[in-house]
Amino acid sequence: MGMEDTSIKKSDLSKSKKDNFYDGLLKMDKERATKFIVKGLIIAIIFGTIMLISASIAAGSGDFSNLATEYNEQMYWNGAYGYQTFLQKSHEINFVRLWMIYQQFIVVNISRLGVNIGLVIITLGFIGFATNDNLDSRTRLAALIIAGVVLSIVMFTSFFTQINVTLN
Amino acid sequence: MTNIGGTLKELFGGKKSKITVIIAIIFFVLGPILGFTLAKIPMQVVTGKVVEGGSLSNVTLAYAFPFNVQYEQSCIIEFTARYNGTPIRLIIVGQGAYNTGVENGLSPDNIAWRNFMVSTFSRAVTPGSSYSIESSVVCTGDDTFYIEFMGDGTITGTDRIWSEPGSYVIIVYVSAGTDAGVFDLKVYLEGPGEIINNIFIIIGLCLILSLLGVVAAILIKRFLEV
Repeated sequence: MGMEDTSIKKSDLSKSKKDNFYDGLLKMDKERATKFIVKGLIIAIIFGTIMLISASIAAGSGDFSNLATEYNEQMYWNGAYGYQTFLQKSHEINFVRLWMIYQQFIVVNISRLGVNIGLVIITLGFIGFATNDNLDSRTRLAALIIAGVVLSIVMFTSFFTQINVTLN
Repeated sequence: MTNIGGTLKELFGGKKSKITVIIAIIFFVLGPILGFTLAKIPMQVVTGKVVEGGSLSNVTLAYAFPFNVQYEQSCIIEFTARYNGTPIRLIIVGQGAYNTGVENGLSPDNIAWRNFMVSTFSRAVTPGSSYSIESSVVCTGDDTFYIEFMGDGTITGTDRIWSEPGSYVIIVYVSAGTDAGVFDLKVYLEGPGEIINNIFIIIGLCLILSLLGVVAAILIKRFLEV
Protein backbone atom coordinates (compact mmCIF):
# COMPACT_ATOMS: atom_id res chain seq x y z
CA MET A 1 0.00 0.00 0.00
CA GLY A 2 2.83 2.33 0.94
CA MET A 3 4.67 1.50 -2.31
CA GLU A 4 1.59 2.37 -4.39
CA ASP A 5 1.24 5.67 -2.56
CA THR A 6 4.83 6.57 -3.35
CA SER A 7 4.48 5.68 -7.05
CA ILE A 8 1.26 7.67 -7.34
CA LYS A 9 2.88 10.64 -5.71
CA LYS A 10 5.90 10.47 -8.07
CA SER A 11 3.75 10.25 -11.20
CA ASP A 12 1.55 13.09 -9.93
CA LEU A 13 4.65 15.19 -9.29
CA SER A 14 5.99 14.48 -12.77
CA LYS A 15 2.65 15.31 -14.38
CA SER A 16 2.40 18.48 -12.34
CA LYS A 17 5.90 19.56 -13.50
CA LYS A 18 4.98 18.94 -17.15
CA ASP A 19 1.73 20.90 -16.76
CA ASN A 20 3.65 23.76 -15.16
CA PHE A 21 6.13 23.77 -18.06
CA TYR A 22 3.45 23.92 -20.75
CA ASP A 23 1.38 26.42 -18.74
CA GLY A 24 4.51 28.49 -18.28
CA LEU A 25 5.03 28.67 -22.03
CA LEU A 26 1.62 30.25 -22.54
CA LYS A 27 1.68 32.40 -19.44
CA MET A 28 5.09 33.97 -19.93
CA ASP A 29 5.85 37.38 -18.55
CA LYS A 30 7.37 40.01 -20.84
CA GLU A 31 10.88 39.58 -19.46
CA ARG A 32 10.93 35.80 -19.95
CA ALA A 33 9.51 36.09 -23.49
CA THR A 34 12.22 38.63 -24.41
CA LYS A 35 14.87 36.29 -23.01
CA PHE A 36 13.49 33.47 -25.15
CA ILE A 37 13.66 35.62 -28.29
CA VAL A 38 17.20 36.87 -27.59
CA LYS A 39 18.47 33.39 -26.72
CA GLY A 40 16.82 31.86 -29.76
CA LEU A 41 18.34 34.55 -31.95
CA ILE A 42 21.82 33.98 -30.55
CA ILE A 43 21.54 30.19 -30.94
CA ALA A 44 20.28 30.60 -34.52
CA ILE A 45 23.03 33.12 -35.32
CA ILE A 46 25.78 30.88 -33.86
CA PHE A 47 24.65 27.81 -35.79
CA GLY A 48 23.97 29.90 -38.91
CA THR A 49 27.51 31.29 -38.72
CA ILE A 50 28.91 27.76 -38.34
CA MET A 51 26.89 26.77 -41.41
CA LEU A 52 28.30 29.69 -43.43
CA ILE A 53 31.87 28.96 -42.29
CA SER A 54 31.45 25.34 -43.32
CA ALA A 55 30.07 26.37 -46.74
CA SER A 56 32.93 28.84 -47.13
CA ILE A 57 35.51 26.12 -46.37
CA ALA A 58 33.88 23.86 -48.97
CA ALA A 59 33.80 26.68 -51.53
CA GLY A 60 37.47 27.45 -50.87
CA SER A 61 38.63 23.87 -51.32
CA GLY A 62 39.66 24.51 -54.93
CA ASP A 63 41.76 27.54 -53.96
CA PHE A 64 43.38 25.55 -51.16
CA SER A 65 44.17 22.77 -53.63
CA ASN A 66 45.74 25.25 -56.10
CA LEU A 67 47.89 26.84 -53.39
CA ALA A 68 48.99 23.51 -51.89
CA THR A 69 49.80 22.10 -55.35
CA GLU A 70 51.89 25.17 -56.19
CA TYR A 71 53.74 24.82 -52.86
CA ASN A 72 54.26 21.11 -53.58
CA GLU A 73 55.76 21.95 -56.98
CA GLN A 74 58.00 24.62 -55.50
CA MET A 75 59.29 22.17 -52.88
CA TYR A 76 59.93 19.57 -55.59
CA TRP A 77 61.79 22.04 -57.81
CA ASN A 78 63.80 23.18 -54.77
CA GLY A 79 64.98 19.58 -54.40
CA ALA A 80 63.34 19.10 -50.98
CA TYR A 81 61.98 15.75 -52.14
CA GLY A 82 61.76 13.58 -55.24
CA TYR A 83 58.96 12.86 -57.69
CA GLN A 84 57.62 9.85 -55.77
CA THR A 85 57.17 11.98 -52.63
CA PHE A 86 55.71 14.73 -54.84
CA LEU A 87 53.08 12.24 -56.08
CA GLN A 88 52.36 11.11 -52.51
CA LYS A 89 51.83 14.72 -51.39
CA SER A 90 49.61 15.41 -54.42
CA HIS A 91 47.32 12.58 -53.31
CA GLU A 92 47.28 13.95 -49.75
CA ILE A 93 46.31 17.42 -51.06
CA ASN A 94 43.46 15.87 -53.03
CA PHE A 95 42.35 13.92 -49.95
CA VAL A 96 42.22 17.12 -47.85
CA ARG A 97 40.35 18.94 -50.65
CA LEU A 98 37.71 16.20 -50.75
CA TRP A 99 37.34 16.35 -46.94
CA MET A 100 36.90 20.13 -47.14
CA ILE A 101 33.95 19.53 -49.47
CA TYR A 102 32.52 16.57 -47.56
CA GLN A 103 32.58 18.22 -44.09
CA GLN A 104 29.82 20.49 -45.36
CA PHE A 105 27.34 17.61 -45.38
CA ILE A 106 28.03 16.79 -41.73
CA VAL A 107 28.39 20.31 -40.31
CA VAL A 108 25.51 21.88 -42.24
CA ASN A 109 23.06 19.16 -41.19
CA ILE A 110 24.00 19.51 -37.51
CA SER A 111 23.87 23.32 -37.80
CA ARG A 112 20.46 23.17 -39.49
CA LEU A 113 19.16 21.34 -36.42
CA GLY A 114 20.66 24.05 -34.18
CA VAL A 115 19.14 26.85 -36.25
CA ASN A 116 15.72 25.18 -36.11
CA ILE A 117 15.98 24.81 -32.32
CA GLY A 118 16.88 28.51 -32.12
CA LEU A 119 13.90 29.41 -34.30
CA VAL A 120 11.56 27.29 -32.15
CA ILE A 121 12.78 29.16 -29.05
CA ILE A 122 12.12 32.48 -30.87
CA THR A 123 8.63 31.24 -31.77
CA LEU A 124 7.96 30.37 -28.13
CA GLY A 125 9.11 33.88 -27.13
CA PHE A 126 6.69 35.52 -29.58
CA ILE A 127 3.88 33.20 -28.48
CA GLY A 128 4.69 34.38 -24.96
CA PHE A 129 4.16 37.99 -26.11
CA ALA A 130 0.96 37.05 -27.96
CA THR A 131 -0.55 35.42 -24.87
CA ASN A 132 0.49 38.19 -22.49
CA ASP A 133 -2.65 39.93 -21.20
CA ASN A 134 -0.70 42.97 -20.09
CA LEU A 135 0.20 44.00 -23.65
CA ASP A 136 -2.06 45.86 -26.05
CA SER A 137 -3.97 43.86 -28.63
CA ARG A 138 -1.99 45.17 -31.66
CA THR A 139 1.34 44.18 -30.18
CA ARG A 140 -0.06 40.75 -29.33
CA LEU A 141 -1.41 40.32 -32.86
CA ALA A 142 1.93 41.36 -34.36
CA ALA A 143 3.73 38.91 -32.07
CA LEU A 144 1.35 36.14 -33.08
CA ILE A 145 1.90 36.86 -36.80
CA ILE A 146 5.71 36.87 -36.33
CA ALA A 147 5.48 33.60 -34.36
CA GLY A 148 3.47 32.11 -37.23
CA VAL A 149 5.98 33.31 -39.84
CA VAL A 150 8.96 31.93 -37.86
CA LEU A 151 7.14 28.64 -37.32
CA SER A 152 6.41 28.44 -41.04
CA ILE A 153 10.13 28.96 -41.76
CA VAL A 154 10.99 26.17 -39.32
CA MET A 155 8.46 23.86 -40.96
CA PHE A 156 9.62 24.66 -44.48
CA THR A 157 13.31 24.26 -43.62
CA SER A 158 12.54 21.02 -41.76
CA PHE A 159 10.42 19.39 -44.45
CA PHE A 160 11.62 20.96 -47.69
CA THR A 161 15.35 21.48 -47.02
CA GLN A 162 15.41 25.17 -47.91
CA ILE A 163 13.35 28.14 -49.01
CA ASN A 164 14.13 29.86 -52.29
CA VAL A 165 12.96 33.40 -52.90
CA THR A 166 13.18 34.53 -56.52
CA LEU A 167 12.81 38.22 -57.34
CA ASN A 168 12.08 39.23 -60.93
CA MET B 1 31.29 44.82 -21.39
CA THR B 2 32.93 44.55 -17.98
CA ASN B 3 30.87 41.46 -17.27
CA ILE B 4 31.87 39.84 -20.56
CA GLY B 5 35.52 40.71 -19.93
CA GLY B 6 35.24 39.38 -16.40
CA THR B 7 33.57 36.21 -17.58
CA LEU B 8 36.19 35.58 -20.26
CA LYS B 9 39.00 36.23 -17.78
CA GLU B 10 37.33 33.83 -15.36
CA LEU B 11 36.93 31.16 -18.05
CA PHE B 12 40.29 31.49 -19.83
CA GLY B 13 42.40 32.87 -16.98
CA GLY B 14 42.36 29.67 -14.90
CA LYS B 15 45.47 27.60 -14.28
CA LYS B 16 44.10 24.58 -16.18
CA SER B 17 43.21 26.74 -19.21
CA LYS B 18 46.67 28.30 -19.30
CA ILE B 19 48.36 24.90 -19.03
CA THR B 20 46.14 23.55 -21.84
CA VAL B 21 47.00 26.49 -24.12
CA ILE B 22 50.73 26.19 -23.35
CA ILE B 23 50.71 22.43 -24.05
CA ALA B 24 48.80 23.05 -27.30
CA ILE B 25 51.36 25.68 -28.38
CA ILE B 26 54.19 23.24 -27.55
CA PHE B 27 52.52 20.62 -29.76
CA PHE B 28 52.03 23.16 -32.58
CA VAL B 29 55.71 24.19 -32.43
CA LEU B 30 57.18 20.71 -31.93
CA GLY B 31 55.07 19.14 -34.73
CA PRO B 32 56.75 20.85 -37.71
CA ILE B 33 60.21 20.72 -36.06
CA LEU B 34 60.02 16.97 -35.42
CA GLY B 35 58.30 16.48 -38.79
CA PHE B 36 61.16 18.18 -40.62
CA THR B 37 63.86 16.47 -38.53
CA LEU B 38 62.41 12.98 -38.89
CA ALA B 39 61.31 13.26 -42.54
CA LYS B 40 64.56 11.64 -43.67
CA ILE B 41 66.57 9.40 -41.35
CA PRO B 42 70.22 9.37 -42.40
CA MET B 43 71.57 5.81 -42.66
CA GLN B 44 74.87 6.27 -44.41
CA VAL B 45 76.94 9.32 -45.32
CA VAL B 46 80.12 8.56 -47.27
CA THR B 47 82.39 11.32 -48.55
CA GLY B 48 85.43 10.85 -50.81
CA LYS B 49 85.10 7.07 -50.83
CA VAL B 50 87.49 5.24 -53.20
CA VAL B 51 86.15 2.30 -55.21
CA GLU B 52 88.67 -0.11 -56.71
CA GLY B 53 89.23 -0.41 -60.45
CA GLY B 54 88.73 -4.18 -60.49
CA SER B 55 85.24 -3.90 -59.06
CA LEU B 56 83.75 -4.31 -62.54
CA SER B 57 84.90 -7.91 -62.72
CA ASN B 58 84.18 -8.93 -59.12
CA VAL B 59 81.38 -7.63 -56.91
CA THR B 60 83.41 -8.29 -53.74
CA LEU B 61 85.68 -5.40 -54.74
CA ALA B 62 82.75 -3.01 -55.18
CA TYR B 63 81.37 -0.76 -52.46
CA ALA B 64 78.20 -2.27 -50.95
CA PHE B 65 75.69 -0.89 -48.47
CA PRO B 66 72.83 -3.15 -47.30
CA PHE B 67 69.51 -1.72 -46.12
CA ASN B 68 65.86 -2.68 -45.55
CA VAL B 69 62.68 -0.98 -46.74
CA GLN B 70 59.25 -1.46 -45.23
CA TYR B 71 55.89 -1.31 -47.00
CA GLU B 72 55.37 2.14 -48.59
CA GLN B 73 58.76 3.32 -47.35
CA SER B 74 61.24 5.07 -49.64
CA CYS B 75 65.00 4.91 -49.56
CA ILE B 76 66.48 8.20 -50.75
CA ILE B 77 69.97 8.19 -52.21
CA GLU B 78 72.13 11.16 -53.22
CA PHE B 79 75.02 9.94 -55.34
CA THR B 80 77.88 12.08 -56.63
CA ALA B 81 81.14 11.07 -58.31
CA ARG B 82 84.29 13.17 -58.34
CA TYR B 83 85.22 12.52 -61.91
CA ASN B 84 88.82 11.66 -62.59
CA GLY B 85 88.30 9.95 -65.95
CA THR B 86 86.73 6.84 -64.41
CA PRO B 87 82.97 6.34 -64.81
CA ILE B 88 81.30 5.05 -61.64
CA ARG B 89 78.01 3.14 -61.65
CA LEU B 90 75.42 2.77 -58.87
CA ILE B 91 72.99 -0.13 -58.88
CA ILE B 92 70.57 -1.61 -56.33
CA VAL B 93 70.14 -5.37 -56.07
CA GLY B 94 68.27 -7.76 -53.79
CA GLN B 95 70.12 -9.15 -50.79
CA GLY B 96 69.79 -12.74 -52.06
CA ALA B 97 71.12 -11.85 -55.53
CA TYR B 98 74.01 -9.98 -53.93
CA ASN B 99 74.91 -12.94 -51.69
CA THR B 100 74.91 -15.25 -54.72
CA GLY B 101 77.09 -12.77 -56.62
CA VAL B 102 79.58 -12.60 -53.75
CA GLU B 103 79.70 -16.39 -53.37
CA ASN B 104 80.37 -16.87 -57.09
CA GLY B 105 82.57 -13.79 -57.55
CA LEU B 106 80.27 -12.40 -60.24
CA SER B 107 80.56 -9.06 -61.98
CA PRO B 108 77.98 -6.52 -60.72
CA ASP B 109 76.81 -6.34 -64.34
CA ASN B 110 75.64 -9.96 -64.05
CA ILE B 111 73.48 -9.48 -60.92
CA ALA B 112 69.76 -8.69 -61.39
CA TRP B 113 69.33 -4.91 -61.01
CA ARG B 114 66.31 -3.31 -59.43
CA ASN B 115 64.64 -0.23 -60.91
CA PHE B 116 64.48 3.11 -59.10
CA MET B 117 63.32 6.66 -59.78
CA VAL B 118 65.70 9.50 -60.62
CA SER B 119 64.39 13.05 -60.25
CA THR B 120 65.80 15.99 -62.19
CA PHE B 121 64.67 19.24 -60.63
CA SER B 122 64.05 21.44 -63.65
CA ARG B 123 61.63 24.36 -63.48
CA ALA B 124 61.52 24.39 -67.28
CA VAL B 125 59.17 21.40 -67.28
CA THR B 126 56.38 20.09 -65.09
CA PRO B 127 57.33 17.67 -62.28
CA GLY B 128 55.68 14.88 -64.27
CA SER B 129 58.20 15.40 -67.09
CA SER B 130 61.30 15.66 -64.96
CA TYR B 131 61.88 12.15 -63.72
CA SER B 132 62.93 8.80 -65.13
CA ILE B 133 63.00 5.17 -64.09
CA GLU B 134 66.47 3.66 -64.22
CA SER B 135 68.12 0.40 -63.28
CA SER B 136 71.51 2.08 -62.90
CA VAL B 137 73.09 5.53 -62.98
CA VAL B 138 76.61 6.21 -64.23
CA CYS B 139 78.61 9.25 -63.26
CA THR B 140 80.66 10.09 -66.32
CA GLY B 141 81.24 13.61 -65.08
CA ASP B 142 80.76 15.31 -61.75
CA ASP B 143 77.11 14.32 -61.83
CA THR B 144 74.73 14.17 -58.90
CA PHE B 145 71.74 11.86 -58.88
CA TYR B 146 68.68 12.07 -56.59
CA ILE B 147 67.29 8.56 -56.34
CA GLU B 148 64.12 7.19 -54.73
CA PHE B 149 63.89 3.44 -54.26
CA MET B 150 60.94 1.45 -52.89
CA GLY B 151 61.72 -2.10 -54.04
CA ASP B 152 61.25 -2.12 -57.80
CA GLY B 153 59.77 -0.29 -60.79
CA THR B 154 59.15 -0.44 -64.51
CA ILE B 155 59.45 1.63 -67.66
CA THR B 156 56.75 -0.41 -69.40
CA GLY B 157 53.60 1.68 -69.77
CA THR B 158 53.63 4.44 -67.17
CA ASP B 159 57.07 4.94 -65.67
CA ARG B 160 56.70 4.10 -62.01
CA ILE B 161 58.19 2.52 -58.94
CA TRP B 162 56.31 0.52 -56.33
CA SER B 163 56.70 -0.81 -52.86
CA GLU B 164 58.35 -4.19 -52.36
CA PRO B 165 59.45 -4.53 -48.74
CA GLY B 166 62.68 -6.42 -48.25
CA SER B 167 66.47 -6.34 -47.93
CA TYR B 168 68.49 -4.70 -50.66
CA VAL B 169 72.10 -3.69 -51.34
CA ILE B 170 73.42 -0.53 -52.96
CA ILE B 171 76.47 -1.38 -55.07
CA VAL B 172 78.90 1.25 -56.39
CA TYR B 173 81.63 0.14 -58.81
CA VAL B 174 83.80 1.32 -61.64
CA SER B 175 81.87 0.64 -64.83
CA ALA B 176 84.78 0.85 -67.31
CA GLY B 177 88.57 0.72 -67.12
CA THR B 178 90.85 -0.35 -64.31
CA ASP B 179 91.47 2.93 -62.48
CA ALA B 180 89.95 3.58 -59.07
CA GLY B 181 87.15 6.15 -58.70
CA VAL B 182 86.00 8.52 -55.96
CA PHE B 183 82.41 9.14 -54.99
CA ASP B 184 80.12 10.62 -52.33
CA LEU B 185 77.01 8.79 -51.16
CA LYS B 186 74.20 9.78 -48.82
CA VAL B 187 71.51 7.23 -47.96
CA TYR B 188 68.32 8.21 -46.11
CA LEU B 189 65.25 6.25 -45.16
CA GLU B 190 61.88 7.94 -45.26
CA GLY B 191 61.05 8.56 -41.60
CA PRO B 192 57.81 9.04 -39.67
CA GLY B 193 58.20 12.86 -39.77
CA GLU B 194 54.97 13.65 -41.57
CA ILE B 195 52.90 11.29 -39.43
CA ILE B 196 54.40 12.78 -36.24
CA ASN B 197 53.77 16.31 -37.54
CA ASN B 198 50.11 15.48 -38.30
CA ILE B 199 49.61 13.74 -34.93
CA PHE B 200 51.12 16.68 -33.00
CA ILE B 201 48.99 19.22 -34.86
CA ILE B 202 45.83 17.12 -34.36
CA ILE B 203 46.58 16.80 -30.60
CA GLY B 204 47.18 20.58 -30.40
CA LEU B 205 43.93 21.29 -32.23
CA CYS B 206 42.01 18.82 -30.02
CA LEU B 207 43.34 20.53 -26.89
CA ILE B 208 42.30 23.99 -28.13
CA LEU B 209 38.92 22.72 -29.34
CA SER B 210 38.25 20.88 -26.08
CA LEU B 211 39.09 24.05 -24.13
CA LEU B 212 36.79 26.10 -26.35
CA GLY B 213 34.13 23.39 -26.05
CA VAL B 214 34.25 23.47 -22.25
CA VAL B 215 34.12 27.28 -22.23
CA ALA B 216 31.22 27.27 -24.73
CA ALA B 217 29.36 24.67 -22.64
CA ILE B 218 29.78 26.79 -19.49
CA LEU B 219 28.66 29.94 -21.33
CA ILE B 220 25.62 28.20 -22.87
CA LYS B 221 24.69 26.72 -19.50
CA ARG B 222 24.86 30.14 -17.85
CA PHE B 223 23.06 31.72 -20.76
CA LEU B 224 20.20 29.25 -20.73
CA GLU B 225 19.61 29.64 -16.99
CA VAL B 226 16.38 31.61 -16.85
